[in-house]
Amino acid sequence: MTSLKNQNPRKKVQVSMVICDAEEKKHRSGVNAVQLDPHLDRLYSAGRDSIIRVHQHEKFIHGMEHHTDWVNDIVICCGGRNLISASSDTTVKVWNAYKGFCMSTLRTHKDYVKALAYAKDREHVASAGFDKAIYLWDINTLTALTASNNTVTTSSLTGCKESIYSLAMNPPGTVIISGSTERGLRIWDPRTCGKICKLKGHTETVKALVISRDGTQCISGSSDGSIKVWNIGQQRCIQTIIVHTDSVWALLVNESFTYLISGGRDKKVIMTDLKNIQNTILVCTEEAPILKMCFTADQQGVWVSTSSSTVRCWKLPTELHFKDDISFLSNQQISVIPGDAAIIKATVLNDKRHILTKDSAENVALYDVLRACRVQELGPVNYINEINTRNSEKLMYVPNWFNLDLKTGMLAIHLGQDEVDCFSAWVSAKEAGIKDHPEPDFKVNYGKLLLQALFEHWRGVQTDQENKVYFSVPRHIPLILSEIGGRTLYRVLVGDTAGDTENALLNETVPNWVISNIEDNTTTKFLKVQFYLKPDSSVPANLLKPDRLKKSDRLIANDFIQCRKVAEHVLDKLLGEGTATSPGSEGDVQSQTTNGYTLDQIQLLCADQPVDLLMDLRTVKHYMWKYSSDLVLHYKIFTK
Amino acid sequence: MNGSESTQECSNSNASYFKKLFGLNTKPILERSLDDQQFDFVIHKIPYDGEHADLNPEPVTLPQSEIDFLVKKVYSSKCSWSPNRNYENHRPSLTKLKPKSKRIVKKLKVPVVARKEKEFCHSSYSQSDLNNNTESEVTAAVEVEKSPLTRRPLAVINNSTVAVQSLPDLPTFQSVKRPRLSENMAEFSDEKTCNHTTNNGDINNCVDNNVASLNNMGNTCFLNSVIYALRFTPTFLHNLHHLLTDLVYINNKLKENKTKTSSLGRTGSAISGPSWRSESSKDLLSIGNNDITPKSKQQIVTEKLHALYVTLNNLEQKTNPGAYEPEAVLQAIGEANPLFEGNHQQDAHELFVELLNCLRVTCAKLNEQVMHNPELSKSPVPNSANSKNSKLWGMRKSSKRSAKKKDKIGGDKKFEDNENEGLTVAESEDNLSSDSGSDVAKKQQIGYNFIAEDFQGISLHRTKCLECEEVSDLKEPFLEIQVPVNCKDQPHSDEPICDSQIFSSLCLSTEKLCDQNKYFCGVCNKHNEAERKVLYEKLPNILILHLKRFTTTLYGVRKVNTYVPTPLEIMCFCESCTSIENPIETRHKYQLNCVIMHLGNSMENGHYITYSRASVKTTDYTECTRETPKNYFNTSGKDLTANFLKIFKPKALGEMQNGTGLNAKKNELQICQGSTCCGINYKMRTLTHCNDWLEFDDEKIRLLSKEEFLDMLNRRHATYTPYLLFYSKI
Repeated sequence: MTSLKNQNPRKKVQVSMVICDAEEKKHRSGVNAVQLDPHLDRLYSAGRDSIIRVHQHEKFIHGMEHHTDWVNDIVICCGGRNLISASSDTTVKVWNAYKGFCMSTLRTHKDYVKALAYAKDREHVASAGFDKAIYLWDINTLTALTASNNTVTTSSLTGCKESIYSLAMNPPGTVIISGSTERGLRIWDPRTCGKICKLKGHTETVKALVISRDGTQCISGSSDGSIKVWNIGQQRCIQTIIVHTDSVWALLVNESFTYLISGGRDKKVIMTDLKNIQNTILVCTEEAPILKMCFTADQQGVWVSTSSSTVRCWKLPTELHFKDDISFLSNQQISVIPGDAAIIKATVLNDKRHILTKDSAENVALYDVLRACRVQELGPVNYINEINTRNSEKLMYVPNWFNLDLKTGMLAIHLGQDEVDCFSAWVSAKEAGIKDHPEPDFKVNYGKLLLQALFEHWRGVQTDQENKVYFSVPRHIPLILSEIGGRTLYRVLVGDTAGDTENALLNETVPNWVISNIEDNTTTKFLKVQFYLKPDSSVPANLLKPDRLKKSDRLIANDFIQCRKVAEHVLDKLLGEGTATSPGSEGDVQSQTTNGYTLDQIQLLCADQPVDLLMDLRTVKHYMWKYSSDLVLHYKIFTK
Repeated sequence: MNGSESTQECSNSNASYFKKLFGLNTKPILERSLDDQQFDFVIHKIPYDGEHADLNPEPVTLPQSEIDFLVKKVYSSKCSWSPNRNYENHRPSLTKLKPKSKRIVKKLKVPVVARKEKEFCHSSYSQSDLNNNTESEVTAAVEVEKSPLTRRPLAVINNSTVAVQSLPDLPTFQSVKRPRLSENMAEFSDEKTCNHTTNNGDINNCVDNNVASLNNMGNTCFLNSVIYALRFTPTFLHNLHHLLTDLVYINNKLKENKTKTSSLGRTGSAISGPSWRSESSKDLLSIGNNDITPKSKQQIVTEKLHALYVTLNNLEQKTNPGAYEPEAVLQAIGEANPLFEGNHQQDAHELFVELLNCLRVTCAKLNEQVMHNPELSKSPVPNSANSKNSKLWGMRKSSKRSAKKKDKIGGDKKFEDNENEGLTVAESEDNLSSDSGSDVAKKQQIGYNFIAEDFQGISLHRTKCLECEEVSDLKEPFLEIQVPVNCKDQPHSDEPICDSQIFSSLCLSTEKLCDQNKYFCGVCNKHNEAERKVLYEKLPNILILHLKRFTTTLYGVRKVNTYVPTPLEIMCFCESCTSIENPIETRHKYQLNCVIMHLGNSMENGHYITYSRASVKTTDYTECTRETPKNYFNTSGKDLTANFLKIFKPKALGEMQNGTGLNAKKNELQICQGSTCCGINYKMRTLTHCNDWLEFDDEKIRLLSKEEFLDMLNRRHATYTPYLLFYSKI
């Protein structure tokens, strides 16, 4: 099963999961793109939470989940049948828009894919991103892709020297324009892939572009706050519109190229008459910076997406408002698709199992990583205080075993990233909260427990006690296998892993380090702590064994060993005659040894502070010793 | 001692001198304009009419070709000079020297004491001369100083005129009187305010070129170059001086607080020893004996550095200073940082960083002590008394006669710092026992962290997430700016950058964080592309630029010899100065003060040479409102200045009473003790043109004109590269 993958030299693969609800109906974070299918009057919105959601008249139809990072741009094509999306997971995906499933994934880009452009007449789509490349796709080829016929030919437009943030193509597909951090516009002819020209004038990144149907004019919006109207034939800027007080991030122009709607970081949507650019009307002021806009079907309103999760539709002024100077009432909201709060802060508690989060609505919640669910909603309490109270409940130290990120506004847990050993956290079954375990002191490994839960259905039912799944994660939890710091290899819901195709794909992608750990029980390696055990100055020398005076005891023990065991060792081995019992042997607690002392009389000191014998060594080292050097423990005897 | 003849010759202020010197009624004067930017050479004809020189000679402008010739002559360098050479055969070719000039040269080798005697004679002579001719004052000086080790001559003229460096084959030269001197002197003292306390009026005296030099103790040019550079860095010596006085003061205070038995003055004096004569740096470090708190290694470095500057100051009082070996400093640094142990070649920059760090740590420690013991900085004397004291101190110069008497009274070898002289004996006794608050006139200045104030700037790393365009600033203090030097010859091919902008263009960088190096934006909670700009919120008063000329390659450390222009003046590139709203006219400027050059092709074997402006602004001494605690001089064994003054004071003091314009002016000024303790004391200072530069090549020191210096600096020679640049805000 595993032998095949060893021959595949590949970047190390990490296992991730996103803790989410069974159905995420609302956007969790900002909405990067909105597109309207005018035929069905459906609104497609691409969220930073990696989900594209479809709404019909404010009613949630379905979500399209397959991306693993921000969806940056979407395009509706083939008359609304298909949808193409670009994401920061470096992929471009082709969707069946009606049914909401992903038809194919294009992995040509090497970095975030930031922008898409669509030539309706030719059914071409162009994608561009931070890898400086623009790829041109024939949509009819893309939608015809199957598992067997999966080769696509693409033309690439090269020449851009920096990351591309915006892209536009006219409907006949004769001109394509890119805007980048180079601060200039680059124009190509997509039919020949030849460069046409470069337009300079902006002083910051060009983040929004629109182009006229005939490809003679284009308008660019930049982070320098200006909007420029360019004549492509003359290759010059013909107008500079400054209506925003901050970066311009979104542009929309009507079919006849007479009215421009712009939005940006100043949260304002402004409509400008292109024939007379002094003539501007404020459409609305949003609650967050504006990321994208699209017209409603009747062109009377505009859908506005922002970096907050709510998408709103605002009434647009008509030509009358411009011509006859009839005053227009700004901020007329037509409809709204409310969003949900995104988790913006997360702190792993000291038990390294529970995570306290705070969302954009200031609500605090507690998550359990092992169960991949929210266990408690605390409401708008003080986040810092809550962390402190929970952490001070019990002094314990468990090593880190996972990483987390919040880029989608949801908790994502990563196992197997290089700097964190996911098998480092050993705790007793009792500490892990496994109540029905036959041995409360049995050591379980958090990383292993979670991996077992995630791959539970893939591996099938395990019968033996050793591999019994004490925790299970909900079936809707997405399981993501990806190269560390790189591209996503496979995304599947935990509940779906039992399926035949999924099983086969998983067999190919699940990394060796996971399989060897969840399958074999031989690989249990405990973390060790090295420490010195020295007599305190108050310990009379005659109590010690003669050889103890000379050498100091450098010992090695598992990091979760309780100090009581160390005290037993002191009692047994270091004081007086000593018995033959080994220090590590279990259950040897109330040993009344030959030297006449009991365990209660032994006190351990770390950094001159008495150590609670119930603490484990790593906790002592982390909270009391506080150095990276070897722990030093002193022992002392209370005389009766 | 040497007779009046020599006195007459050396005393440059009287007209007869010129008569003897030039013997003609008309003498050419080579004069260089004081204007910093111009080098106009004007030949004055001064008709000689008996005992009184005509003070208003007509300037005769030479044709340009002739000036060029003269300049070339004057500034041609690198002569080999042998003490045994017959000077008569080597007349200056520039102008005719009367045979008597030879005698001036010959008189150079007078022993120290003798020379001092001689100086007094000069003083008295000039005084009497002044009586005759009140308008004329110091004009020209001709003297050649020879360091026995360097065998390099240095020649300097009086303030008003040209400084000539080692003419080919003949190390002497002449200079001529300058017209309307009193006026010019007044200006001059305004501008430079030098030599006030140090020489007690021997500004009228012969000028020598006794810049103290440092011997190379084997691979120690890195140390010497930095010591030289710091020495000539404006305000550095002064601040170092006060740091040391504060340290001693605080230490004594702490001890006083602790013991409460013996008075501070007695404790201090008990330990002081007459170590000033010794040139051994060990003796100068007797401070350590009576410390209340154990000294940090950094503090020892600070003290040894100060002691070294004291020694150099002391050396400059002598006629014939030998090169000094800064062994103690090196040893102290080696102890503070093992990197500098042993006898290896080191990076001057690393040493500089270490030195500044030591000073910074010492300052910080001092501050901490002041913080923890707020009563230390409190003045037991009410403010009115303070002001009274300072008033008296301001008058100190006018009452030096009484002080002189008091010196005799001080039979216990306890030195009464000459700043006390305005006080009555009772007052100063009181001061000594109670350590009056006048010692700490400005309490907020105790523990003044001059490293933080002068050397520390704040850099700003401004990162903008390109997604949400949120800007986050990271501020970091810095002591020096690392200037990247590109391997390519033309780092900025886009548009030509004028020289004064070169460093701002090199230091203000913009970096794009992208690809695998994306920036984690806390607002987006995601790795995004970002733009990181390096800006400078505040540039320090003393801006040190470190040209990163060493790059690590596969083959080891390699030196980048790319030419980077070193402008004498640069525009400030701090954030406020570079903002668009700020017009260019209002921006700060920085002036180049010192350059440490690296010679050689690799890091392993190279040589460091320091260049510094020959004239250093000393306004910080004259504007200093702080007073040196008296006990400092007792405890630190640095009563050398005092002793020095004792020796040659009698006559010098006398003539100080004569209220010539300059002297009167000086009397109004309070001059900080630091100037006499560890300040720069070489006499050339007042007399050289402010555009002249000094070259310090270990023990070899020579004077360069601006042109020569620029030539040196901008030599596109492959291995002769500026390495550390010291700019100061103007």
